[in-house]
Amino acid sequence: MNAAASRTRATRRPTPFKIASLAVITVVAVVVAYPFVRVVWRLFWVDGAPSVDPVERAFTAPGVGELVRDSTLIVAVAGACAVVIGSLLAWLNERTDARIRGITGIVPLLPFLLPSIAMAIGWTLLLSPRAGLLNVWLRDLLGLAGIEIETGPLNIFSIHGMIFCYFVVLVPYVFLFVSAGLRNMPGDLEEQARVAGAGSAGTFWRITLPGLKPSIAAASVIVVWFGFAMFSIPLIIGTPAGIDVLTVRIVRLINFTYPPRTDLAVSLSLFILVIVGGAWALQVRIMKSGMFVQAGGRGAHASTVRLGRLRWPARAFIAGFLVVSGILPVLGLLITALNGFWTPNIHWGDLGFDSFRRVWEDELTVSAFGNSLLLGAVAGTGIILFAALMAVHVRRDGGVVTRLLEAAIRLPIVVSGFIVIVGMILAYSGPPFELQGTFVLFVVAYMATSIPQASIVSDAAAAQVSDDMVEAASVSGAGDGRIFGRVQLPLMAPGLVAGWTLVFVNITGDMEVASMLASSRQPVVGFQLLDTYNKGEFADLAAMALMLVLITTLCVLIGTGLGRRLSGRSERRVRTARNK
Amino acid sequence: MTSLIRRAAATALTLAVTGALLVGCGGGAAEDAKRPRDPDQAALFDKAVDEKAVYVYSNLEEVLNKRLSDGYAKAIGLPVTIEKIASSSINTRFASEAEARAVRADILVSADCSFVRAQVGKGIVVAMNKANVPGYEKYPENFKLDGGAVPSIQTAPYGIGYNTDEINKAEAPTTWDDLLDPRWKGRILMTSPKGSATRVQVYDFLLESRGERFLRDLGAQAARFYPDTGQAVAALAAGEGAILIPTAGQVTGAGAKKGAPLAFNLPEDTTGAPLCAGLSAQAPNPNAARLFLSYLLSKSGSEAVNGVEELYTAGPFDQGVKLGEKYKQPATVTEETAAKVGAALGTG
Repeated sequence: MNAAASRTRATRRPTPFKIASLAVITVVAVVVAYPFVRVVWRLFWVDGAPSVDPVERAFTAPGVGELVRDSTLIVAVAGACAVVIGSLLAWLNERTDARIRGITGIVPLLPFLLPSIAMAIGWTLLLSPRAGLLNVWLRDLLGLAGIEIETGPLNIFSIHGMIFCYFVVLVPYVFLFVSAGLRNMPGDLEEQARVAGAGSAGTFWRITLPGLKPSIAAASVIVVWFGFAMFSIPLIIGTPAGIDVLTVRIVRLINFTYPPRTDLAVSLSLFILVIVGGAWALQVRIMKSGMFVQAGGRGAHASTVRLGRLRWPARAFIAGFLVVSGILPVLGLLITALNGFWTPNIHWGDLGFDSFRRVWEDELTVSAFGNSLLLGAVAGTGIILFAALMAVHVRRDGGVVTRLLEAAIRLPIVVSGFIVIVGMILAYSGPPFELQGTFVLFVVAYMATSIPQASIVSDAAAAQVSDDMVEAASVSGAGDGRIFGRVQLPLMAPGLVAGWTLVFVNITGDMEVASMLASSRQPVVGFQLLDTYNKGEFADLAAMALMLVLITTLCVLIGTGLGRRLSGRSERRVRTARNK
Repeated sequence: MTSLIRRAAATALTLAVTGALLVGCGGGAAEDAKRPRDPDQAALFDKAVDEKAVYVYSNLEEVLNKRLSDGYAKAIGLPVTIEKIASSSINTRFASEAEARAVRADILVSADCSFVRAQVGKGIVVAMNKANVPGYEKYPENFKLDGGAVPSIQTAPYGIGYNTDEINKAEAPTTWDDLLDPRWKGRILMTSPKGSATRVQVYDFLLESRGERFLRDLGAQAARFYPDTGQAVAALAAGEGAILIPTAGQVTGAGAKKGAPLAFNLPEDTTGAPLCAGLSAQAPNPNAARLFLSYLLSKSGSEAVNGVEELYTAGPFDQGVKLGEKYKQPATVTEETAAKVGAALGTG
């Protein structure tokens, strides 16, 4: 019996690790999918027979054509720009000498650290037509040139304004995924291409870009997904602009319509389901094609591309992005927080820290910070480890059952987080679970909202781990559990750390779960932000958001540092294994 | 790596245990309980001492929740837990829990009276006039809705906010009709009726009292429609517009206190945003809940809820803002009302 045959048999035989993995995945799938199935079942199964009414309702809902058109247009334009710019920023930072250690790696992530409600308000403070700080400063400048206008010149309350905000929010996701992909991708092929005479652009186009397919595919799915799921930005900027998008209409149907039109909300979600489902199917196809470079195969440390004369323009481009996406909205928030309320007439000498003090001295807010950070750390860690386990399991044993379980975990959230959370309250509040009023219900809700995102990252990370490494470990006698812990997890580490950052920041700044489950007894940051927003206390909201940014930045810095360390370790491990 | 995972797992476990400890703190002891002298209240008290802390889902400001629980502790001394929930989700949460037969809240205090009224119709909330709450028969009639089935415990009358840097007090509009003056065209910020039932109610009040033409002309005066009062009042303070409707004095007052150039005019004929109370038909602590309601619907309870001047609310026992004779309770919101208002205003 040869080694290959015995190996094949070994992979087919269910090991304790495989059985345990399948059991864990099954439990999570049931926990996440049951509430969703419960809500949807009642809509598609009426009076003991299947019903197509929800589909009919989706197509006949008032203004649905305009709603789908505007939503798709905004996500498509903003998403395409985000994929291009995010990938370019990642490449500049990971592969070129435009990189400035400790700065260029963080810059593109800045907008990602601001909770979306704070980002939307930050831009409102800057670009409202009459009172926007930036508009007032621009008008003053134009006045010096003899041009007098009363409003503008920029207007955030427009389709351009919405696309811009979506773009700024989506870039960090692309940057995170593509950066992780670049770190995982061996640089020897690029090096050989350059030695063979290909220029930087040629190498990028023919070698780097094809190698990044899984990461770019994952980033694109996330961009489509997050684009269609955004709520705060379309609510705060789209409503004054007179533009409705699918998510805002769905939430209004659940929370602001009486009786709640859950049926129509679910029906409208079908459009998002089809679009995101399509994007996901495309990602799966790209992963299956295997047309990309895997870590651990013939890895070598990537050398730095010298940009020559383009080095400083590249750095200026990164700095420009920093100013536009991060510094400006933070500046708007900071000035408002220091002033006590939003006004274009700033008395610079009167600025003070009263808003920060009020936030810091409010027991409920402090408690909210503690809860959110704790939930982010605990749920975030659990979710990313689970996503890694699922990715590895699906890759090795991608049978029908596993694929169904994966779909059960991923699909519910596409139909709007708010619907899933209502389903969770219905399913788990009462006996036998009795989870109402506990943080366990938060964790379950975060599992539903975050595992799908985390699994996109972990799938990309798993796809870049070479099967050779796994087989080599298997031949050496290591069990599946040991291979997962000692080989796959370390090799996936850079991607997983990026995923953890994504999940952690999303949970700490989350508004969806917070608005439905949090309260004064169980405060989280999102709940407090929503409360201050509803009262119009923008200074306190700005102070709170900036404090959250400081704390999450610290956490992300630790996360990315850890990612780099683990990346270095896995590279060394790969080199050692290859040499053996 | 393995040690790293072990360390991460240990940290996660510690955090999880700490998190678990954070769960479920609340309620209070009944050590200082005082048996009321009123025989009906006393009878409820005797049964309530064997029940758990009465649980309230509330849309009230946190400062008022605190005043209410402190007042109840002083008056009766039995434990009460008041949980503030976002106004956008309180109804969904209450209805979902009732459907799941996992009712946590004995009492609901919601900013959406249409919702409470509808729950009474469905039997999910008990009609207050049939709930045997001691003293309710003396509750002022003008704060009873649907013949007493639903009590309003507080109302924030709607009026006109303005920016004092943009308009001086003498020229600021004081009536709804003043808003059609051509000089305000493009200078009025409005909150969209799409986001809340209470805003539909105030636009519906204007439609019913002045006709569809008035509402259409008013919509044409708008500079912009904001999704929430909070965002709109911040924009008013910044000078994005000169006037804001509809708004409550509480919102502009809070901004003015921090130095924002905001002021408020209350038209004589107006409506308001009432908060309504309801007793859950599946209340886990029915006697404690009725005893608490007898306090909430008393003069002392109303003083706790309406006694903060800067919140600019009116209570049933003449506390707070004095409502004009032409003040009208808002009508129940239906889908048709919302559609009619949206069509007239041009918000769709």
